[in-house]
Amino acid sequence: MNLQVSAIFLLAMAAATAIWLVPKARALDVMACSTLLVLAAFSWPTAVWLLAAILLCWAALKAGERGTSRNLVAASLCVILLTAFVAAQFTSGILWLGASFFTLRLLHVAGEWWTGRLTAPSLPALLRYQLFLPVLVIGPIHRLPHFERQATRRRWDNATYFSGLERCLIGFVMAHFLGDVVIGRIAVRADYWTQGLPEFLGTWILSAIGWARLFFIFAGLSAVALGASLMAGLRLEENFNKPWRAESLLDFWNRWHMSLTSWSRDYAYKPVMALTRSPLVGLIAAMLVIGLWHDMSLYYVCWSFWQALGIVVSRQAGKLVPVASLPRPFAAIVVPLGILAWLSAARPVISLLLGVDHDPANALF
Amino acid sequence: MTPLMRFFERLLPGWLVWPALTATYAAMLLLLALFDPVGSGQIIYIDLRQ
Repeated sequence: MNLQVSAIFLLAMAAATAIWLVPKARALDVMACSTLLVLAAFSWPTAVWLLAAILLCWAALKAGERGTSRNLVAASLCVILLTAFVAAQFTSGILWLGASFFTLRLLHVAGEWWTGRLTAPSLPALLRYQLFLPVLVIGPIHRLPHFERQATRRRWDNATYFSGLERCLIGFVMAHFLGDVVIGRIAVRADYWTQGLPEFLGTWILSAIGWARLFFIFAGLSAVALGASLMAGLRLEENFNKPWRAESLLDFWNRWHMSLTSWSRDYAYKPVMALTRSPLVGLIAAMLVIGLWHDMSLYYVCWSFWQALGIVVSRQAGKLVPVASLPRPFAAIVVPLGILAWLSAARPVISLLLGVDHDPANALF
Repeated sequence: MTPLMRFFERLLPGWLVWPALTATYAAMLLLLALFDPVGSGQIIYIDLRQ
């Protein structure tokens, strides 16, 4: 596993333990200071960016509360945050730590404030929310109201602390051993085995293995993040919910990287749907957010359309042959395999369409 | 009580829960210590742009 990722998670676990030694009222302030120090040590440009973005968000929302047009404030804030994020995507040579996660969190705060569901948070509250070390690298994209509720309720409990510690250990094994070592080695061998196959089929098989590997690494590291949060006394939003049990592609996206899916549902699907009155346009917008979140490239634009098409197709197929009508063992095997086949077909199909074999390092799906 | 402990309590007699739990933790730590990573940092490249 990447040493920096492991080091940050171990530091998060240490910080989650250490904050129990300081008074409860100051615990998350200490965590925020630790996060800033860790960020500055690993990537000072990210630390400067994150701090500047928090200050900007706080100042803009305060100005909005004092009478500046809410629409103008929210729109300007979104444009600035997104521009900074896109600029970072195209800046090489700098390590950007958790850039997409904190950008989406700030957009969530701006969006909720704009709709009136949230009052402008104080600067310390915003700092505590954004500078929470366990979720720095891998998310989840937790929500401010939930975080504040959890922060208010946090209290020492042996079972909670040790459940968090245990979850970290299980998460490390999932990511490091199952994802990295076991499926990583299968992927290396599959690369060799598929050399005799037609290119399309070979890429498809490798992409399917890539999805399995990504699940173990991403769900494992998410478990470490949530486990470290639990060690600090906060139960944050889950990121995965048994995606292999999905009954359709839409169901799959509601179980895979759930915090990103719910973000794109709330801030892309619903607004676009409300504007256009077209669920299809809303779906494409939501999938574009998810796709471009992975990488700002033509490949991921095509990938988003492929996934939106898959959701439409699987919905129609579900109407013709409801999953409930299929024999249970058959459905339990065939439906997840069908979903995996569609997800992993994206890479060979788009590579064929674009006429280039997309760099596997940049196209895991 | 942790989730693994609850899991073992459902499966095993009471006196075996702690040994099973200890063995599981030891096995997990051993797996982490023994195997060299291949580079999972690459797979979450989106948040570790180097």
